[in-house]
Amino acid sequence: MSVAPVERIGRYLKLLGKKFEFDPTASKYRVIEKFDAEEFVVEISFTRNWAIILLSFGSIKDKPVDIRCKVFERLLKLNRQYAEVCFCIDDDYNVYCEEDILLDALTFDVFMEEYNAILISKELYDKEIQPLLTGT
Amino acid sequence: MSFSVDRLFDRVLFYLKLLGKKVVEVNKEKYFVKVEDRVNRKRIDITIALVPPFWVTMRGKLLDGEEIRKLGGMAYIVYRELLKLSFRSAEFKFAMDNEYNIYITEDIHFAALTFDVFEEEYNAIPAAAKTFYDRLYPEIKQIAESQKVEIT
Repeated sequence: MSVAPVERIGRYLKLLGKKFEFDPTASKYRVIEKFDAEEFVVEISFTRNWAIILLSFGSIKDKPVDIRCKVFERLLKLNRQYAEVCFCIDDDYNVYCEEDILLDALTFDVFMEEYNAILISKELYDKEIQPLLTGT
Repeated sequence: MSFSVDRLFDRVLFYLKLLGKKVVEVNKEKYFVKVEDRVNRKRIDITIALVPPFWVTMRGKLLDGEEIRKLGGMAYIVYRELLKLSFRSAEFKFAMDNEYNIYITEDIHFAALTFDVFEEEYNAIPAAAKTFYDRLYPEIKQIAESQKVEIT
């Protein structure tokens, strides 16, 4: 594979008909997605060995501990239930879905499946996590 | 895109042989293999399964659900730290089943199943287990002690 991973992912995004922009300074793609009329941004960045696809769902820091506990429990169970989905949090209690592709494994088919997992995670979050946060 | 699951399963067995891993069970009908590995002198049971249409999944069980249930409300800290560790590392994620068993999990897309990828993903499991036992397990034990429950 002679094309560098950054360029290759740009090509894959075009092939998939995605609306996106590239920040050359941060070497990061921002892909604009829409789900149920709501727009959200998927970010794709790179480390030496990995392409990292990230979707942020925002922070749950302001939620009471018992709600956060239920959310964490559910996120871990979703990680088990869905092979392709990886929910995680940072130190500020921002919830993410993160998909990582080893650059040695980067092909169009792998990228498409991992990227689609992010979109599945958005659906899962809205359906399974959001009700825990709003008490509905 | 279609894959011969039988051939992929044989490939997984071949890779495990190349890596010199201790295979303890092979189920060719259900496409899973169980491997026994060791981290910090603790035995870790790893199950590698083919889940059509796309995924090779690897699961290493780290902690029994019984132990998590003993922690009561303090399990919150364990959940939080597992999710944070998943964020800090590109190589692995933590997961929990309905019985509260804690796992380290890895997934490889069928299209990406080569020896180099398999080796890297497999090795992430003992590495993650080591991180878990070195960094999180002492905290779990401490919580258990404060709750006056025993964790094995």
